[in-house]
Amino acid sequence: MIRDPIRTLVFRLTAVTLALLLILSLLASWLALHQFERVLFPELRLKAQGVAEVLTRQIDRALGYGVPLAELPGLSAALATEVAAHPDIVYIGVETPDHRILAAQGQRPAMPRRSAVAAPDDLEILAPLTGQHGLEAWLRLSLDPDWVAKASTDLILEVASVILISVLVAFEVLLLVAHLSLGRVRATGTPRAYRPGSGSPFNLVFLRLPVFLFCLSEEVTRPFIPTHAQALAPTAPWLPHDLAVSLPITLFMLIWALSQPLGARLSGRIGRRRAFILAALLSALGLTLTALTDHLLAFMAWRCLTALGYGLALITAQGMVVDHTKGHNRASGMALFIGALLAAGVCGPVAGGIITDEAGATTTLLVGAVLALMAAATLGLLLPKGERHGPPGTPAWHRDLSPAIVKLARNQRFTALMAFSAIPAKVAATGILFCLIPLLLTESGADKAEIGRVQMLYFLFFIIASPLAANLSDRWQIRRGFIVGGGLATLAALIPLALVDQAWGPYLAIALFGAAQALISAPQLSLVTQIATRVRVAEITAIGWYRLLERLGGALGPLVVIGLAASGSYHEAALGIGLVCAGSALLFWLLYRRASPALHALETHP
Amino acid sequence: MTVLSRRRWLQWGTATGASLLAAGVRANPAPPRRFRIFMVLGRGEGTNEQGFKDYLARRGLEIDYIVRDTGGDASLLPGIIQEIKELRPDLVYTWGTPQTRAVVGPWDDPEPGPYVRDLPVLFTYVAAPRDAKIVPNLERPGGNVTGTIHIAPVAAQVNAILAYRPIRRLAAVFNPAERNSLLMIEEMRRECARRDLELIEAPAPLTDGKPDPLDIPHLIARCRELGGEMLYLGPDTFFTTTHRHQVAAVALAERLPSFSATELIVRTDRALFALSSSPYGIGRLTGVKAVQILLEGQSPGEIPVETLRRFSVLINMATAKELSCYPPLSLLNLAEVVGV
Amino acid sequence: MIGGRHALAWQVSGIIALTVATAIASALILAFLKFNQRLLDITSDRLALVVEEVRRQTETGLALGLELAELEDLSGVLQRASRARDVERIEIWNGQGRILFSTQSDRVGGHDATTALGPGYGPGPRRRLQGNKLQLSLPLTDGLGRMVGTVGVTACLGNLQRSLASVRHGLLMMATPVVSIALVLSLVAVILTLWLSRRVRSQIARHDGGDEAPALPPRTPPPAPSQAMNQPLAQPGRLRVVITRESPPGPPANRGPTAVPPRWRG
Repeated sequence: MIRDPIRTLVFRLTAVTLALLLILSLLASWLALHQFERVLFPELRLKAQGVAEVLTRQIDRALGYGVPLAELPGLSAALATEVAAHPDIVYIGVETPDHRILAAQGQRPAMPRRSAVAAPDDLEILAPLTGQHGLEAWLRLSLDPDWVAKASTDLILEVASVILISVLVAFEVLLLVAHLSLGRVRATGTPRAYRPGSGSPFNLVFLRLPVFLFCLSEEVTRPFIPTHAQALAPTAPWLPHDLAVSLPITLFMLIWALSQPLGARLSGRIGRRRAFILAALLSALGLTLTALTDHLLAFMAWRCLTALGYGLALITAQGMVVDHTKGHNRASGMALFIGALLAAGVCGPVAGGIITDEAGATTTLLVGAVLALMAAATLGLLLPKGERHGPPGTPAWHRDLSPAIVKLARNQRFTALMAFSAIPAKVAATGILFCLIPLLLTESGADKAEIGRVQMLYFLFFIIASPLAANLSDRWQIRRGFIVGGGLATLAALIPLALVDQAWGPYLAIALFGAAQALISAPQLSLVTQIATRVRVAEITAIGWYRLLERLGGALGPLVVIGLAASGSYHEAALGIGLVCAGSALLFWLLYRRASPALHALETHP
Repeated sequence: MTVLSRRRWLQWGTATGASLLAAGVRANPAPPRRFRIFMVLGRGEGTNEQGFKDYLARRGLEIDYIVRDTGGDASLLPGIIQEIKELRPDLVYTWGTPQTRAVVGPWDDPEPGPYVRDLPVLFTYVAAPRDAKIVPNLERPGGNVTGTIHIAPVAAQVNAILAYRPIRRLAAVFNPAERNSLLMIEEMRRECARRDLELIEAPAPLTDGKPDPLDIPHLIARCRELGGEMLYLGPDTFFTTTHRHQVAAVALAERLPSFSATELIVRTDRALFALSSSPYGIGRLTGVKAVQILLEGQSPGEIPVETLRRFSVLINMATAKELSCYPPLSLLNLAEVVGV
Repeated sequence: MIGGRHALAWQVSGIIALTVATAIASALILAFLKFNQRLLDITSDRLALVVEEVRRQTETGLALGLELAELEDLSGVLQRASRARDVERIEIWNGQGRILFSTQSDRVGGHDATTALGPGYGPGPRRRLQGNKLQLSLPLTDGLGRMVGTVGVTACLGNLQRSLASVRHGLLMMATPVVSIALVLSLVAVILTLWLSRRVRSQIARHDGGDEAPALPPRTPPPAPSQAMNQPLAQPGRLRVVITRESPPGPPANRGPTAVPPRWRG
């Protein structure tokens, strides 16, 4: 691939950025932590003194009644309660003046222990316990010298997220700048950088940044949409609660799916550039209105508006790719487009989560609107004005639809593929990722930043597993197997989500889930094209229908998940979805198998 | 009769006038009307009655109290009932199960004649009104009777016992001639079965239907011999009121920690600890219900029979010291301590 | 156009420097916000101990059947509790917000409607931040299980804010050198990378004007190298620089100043 040299250069520059970021943020974090400890530590000590006072009061009361300390039951239990309630207190003990320990909970840190800000003495609090005859014992509390560092784990995660987002954004921008600067795309031969408007040839890389920014505008909303809908549900009490939570996402997916064919036609008519800018403006408007609304119905309406813009923009971008590529390089063109989408999928939820936690959902939505506007602006600047709709090679699948779908529907394998593989997979994807994860994690007390991180893992692992899966699937010529394997892997992936209660459960589950989805989606496309050939339908048409049905499945996702959750818990819903995927994968295996030997031959030897 | 009817007329008149006045005036407490409350007590006026009277006074009610004390003598009751029927007070207040039973009778008795059924009756210090057939159910008694219970629910009692010491065998002495005690022991039996706690029942032997105080030492010694780790004393008048001093002393001598569902035997004698309601608090709760009947005109049948939500733990520290059986710190924090 | 032969280096190092600086700044801001929260949490925990203790003592009295206004020794309890650091006042309000007891005696009898605690909030004290005052409140329930009032501690966060300001100052002091290092390092690193990547860049140069770039529309014929050669003559200076750069001591196959791509911007 010839684009490689620039890519290589940009990769190297991105690596440089990453290295710089890591070194400098490590430095900055260390210095900052030092500052924080200096202030936090005295406060911790003060609080520990408060705890010591509470305990001392209780024990002194007992001693005042003449209860001998050694015979006072429940002393250890009382100490244990306090140690459990305060993670920064690592040891509480009652000892006699001659250092005999009567009761103790926790582990005393090894002496002498010195942290940067506290002398060993500062880490311990000694309080006298007085009874009827004066001093009877000492209460000793030890603070954890590493508490500040330990408590900063979520800060570390957030800083790591910031680094990741910065690196990805830098990559996109660098790629663009490198291409601009190195004058890629020419023909008219000016030594200066490519100037938009100077001619028809067009470097598709220029599409990446606008698409990236635009997808980002939507991805930042992912962590909080279901919980936001849940919070607004009381404004429409006549709507059943489950519907109120899942309907916004379902409507979004539905409108998105349905806007694609219409959008293709529209962008063909008014021009790709105008269509994209219009779409981005629509989305920006939708997001702004969503940010300002307080009522569930208005919220859903504006989400639909945003979905309209989203669908239009994406189909326009895809149209642009198709315009400027042909057969053999179309795949890499689409890969470019999808790469931008996935990069946004990795950055967006994390950034959105962090912004929502600190500044609220409204701010995040407005940020999304700004990103959409930026996408419009960048496209406007980068794309030459003359971009009308492309050569007659534009997707013809939006014509000629009805006869094609009939032929496809009659084909048992197509229906099997759709009904038992494509649709369940998308149901699982949207249901789990967009709907279940935010609700489930919020219920167990996670903040939006954590939700964003978990969602990001899906995209990350999808990106990692996808090329591998495609590669292996092609090399080993196994398609059905991967799809079935992916379905079963979905179940395996969702089991940790359903059964594990620890913090790492969702992370593991979603990572595996992303990989499983990659397994499924890689060979699906080639199967569809094979069926298309067999049934004598244009490849593009078949793919169009495939995508449409997939998206309709995606629209169903939230409804299914919330429906399952209504009768049980979120965990049970996850398990249910996993079982559905595994079950339909097996059904797919059975139904797809019954192919004639000729077909089988066709399939294995394309 | 003419006095009464005039009085009644007066009351009505003032009531109408007062309610008109109250309708015009906002805020506050009670219309200036005097109520008559007839009290049937079993052991004289105590802190309960104090709490009751204080509460009504705070609410601004003017009350004429007519107090009759049986002192434990059941033969005085028919005369008292007759008096109630003649005087027709606004509210009848009864203390204790025997007194209440006598005044209102079993709710399902086909012969309501001898009982007070047409006046509101408020009972207090009845441990198990449903089992004693005073009311059919606690949430909506449905008749003319409601009241307050002074005993913590059995589950709370067992919780307190186990919180003090996680024992396996509990011994209970009781007077089988008292219905209250029988009912409480039944409930304890059920609760202990649920908790996997062994209950050793030691009823006092009856002579002529009455228990003999001379049997007390032997009874408690038997509990000890049978392996009881703690002695349970329910709302039993014989053991915890009349002969409480002896009971507590014997338990102490036998080195048996004792738990009581009423506080007197811990406060004034040497039982170890109790889970009880504040008598003043019970009095106030009864006062709350009286206000609902008198001022708000609610029918007693609509008012639920309740107990306090929070109970006090009372610990006698002198007993604890002598038995070397100290309470755990968590319980001590919540407890009132006496005997220091 | 940021000009000159090092335009790419400038632009790229500018972007990287900007990215790094923004990232570091964001990270520091996030860290500060988290620290802010943590500090507030610790102080709240400490004050929660105080208000819990007052509640416990008050409810012990209430359990005896007394009414809130009748508990006389509460004033002493409140005074003792208010000696904790940062505490401005401790108060007990009845269900309508009327102040029954207060460590600031001139407030007794007054009214504070904002204190009414609604039903159904979680365990632990309710926390309210108003300006630089932190208020923690807990409900008081009597023996009948009814909520009869609220106990609340109001603390002045002046100390806290001073600490926060000092930390903020410290961070800013620290940020400046870090960001400067970032800028310098970025520039150095970029130049180094570009220099080390000159082989790659010559590859780009060679293939620039090529054809299989997926972005290339099929109908445009690839520009002939001869066409390309016409360009550099217009800008000899650049060419010279490029030539100098493009002479690595490497295998001769890569050599060839004449093969320098015309639109190479060094």
